[in-house]
Amino acid sequence: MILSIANQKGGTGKTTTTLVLAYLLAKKSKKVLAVDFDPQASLTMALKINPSEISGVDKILLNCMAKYKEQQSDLNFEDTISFNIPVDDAIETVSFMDVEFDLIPANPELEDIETQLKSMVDGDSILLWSLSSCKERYDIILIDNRPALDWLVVNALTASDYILAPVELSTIALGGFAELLKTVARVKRKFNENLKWLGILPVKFEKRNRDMNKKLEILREKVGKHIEIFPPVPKSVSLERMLHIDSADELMKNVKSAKNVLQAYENVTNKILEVAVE
Amino acid sequence: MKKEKTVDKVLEKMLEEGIIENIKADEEVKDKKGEINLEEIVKISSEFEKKKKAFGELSKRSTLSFGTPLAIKVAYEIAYDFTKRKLKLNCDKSSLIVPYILTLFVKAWEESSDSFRKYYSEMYPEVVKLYEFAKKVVK
Repeated sequence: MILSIANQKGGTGKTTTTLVLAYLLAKKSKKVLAVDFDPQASLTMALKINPSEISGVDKILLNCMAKYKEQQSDLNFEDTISFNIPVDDAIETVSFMDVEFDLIPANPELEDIETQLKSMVDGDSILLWSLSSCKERYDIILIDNRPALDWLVVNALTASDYILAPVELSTIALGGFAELLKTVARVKRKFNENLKWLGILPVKFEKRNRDMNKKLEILREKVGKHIEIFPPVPKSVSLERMLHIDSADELMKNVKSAKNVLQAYENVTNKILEVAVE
Repeated sequence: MKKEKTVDKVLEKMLEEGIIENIKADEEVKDKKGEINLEEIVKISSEFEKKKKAFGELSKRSTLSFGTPLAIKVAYEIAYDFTKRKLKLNCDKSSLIVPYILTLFVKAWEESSDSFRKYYSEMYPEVVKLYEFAKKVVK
């Protein structure tokens, strides 16, 4: 299964969530591929890979776009249509604490691809086709999205089976999340009717903050009947310090030491395993 | 306090709208899927697998003047679009053999609205000839 971690608001912990889920799933002996689909390459850098030294996801997309154009112009009765995109060169196996998983890193060049995707026919499906040759090798593919609602995100959602949105419990953040709901509906209508919600993960939750509790209540009341709302990830001082992740190892150590934080991510992991088996 | 309540009301409304859009999208998708019996198409396509070779020979004949590359592309575009948007088999394009595409094309064409057919016919006049041809093959 392919899961997109998405929210157009920055700082909601998309990269943290991707990293922690990749770790927990790998820890449960699942074959995991994490795709850094953000030109900022936070996930890539957190895993100690220099974005400027690698052949990232942008190269895979360019390769796929070229093949697509080539096949379109040569199409005839005899052809079968296939996109065999070699992705292995771009996959890095990362050792992360006591586990290993695969990563397709990102670099800033990914930004330029967005413009090209927007202007091409079927520009929504390039990531989907790019991943199709390696999809079967993994139990779970996690896509860490950029904080935007652009064609990169549309590509990620078109390629995905499920979406998970980490959200902060503030008016502005939830207002932004309402826009994401509409974007997902548009993607379902136009590009990927099989896209389903895995759930919403409230993050940075302060139990004693009355306003946050009120927002959680609103979220549960208005959205909870249709989309699962996971128990919130409590705000953690040590995690806040890691907002701009410098080291994935440090981050994971902090998560593991905060039992309630770890439990919140375990809940999501269990749900992923549940739907992956289905 | 009053202001806070108003902001919450706005938020509630926005979330409601977002979730309604999702529900509507799910319903539309469900309706679309109901239009075509996937199993039926798969069954037809497996029968066509057997005819693939013969069909390939047929397409080479010069007498099939309507089998122009453009017309083929139209068939491809329509069938491809249909496949992608409605049946979501796009992960496995290698399984889309030409007769299968034409099967989908015929179904797509027959089930399209009049306005869609008019629009496409005007844009690609070959599409009607191709439909007649594809229909014979599918039959």
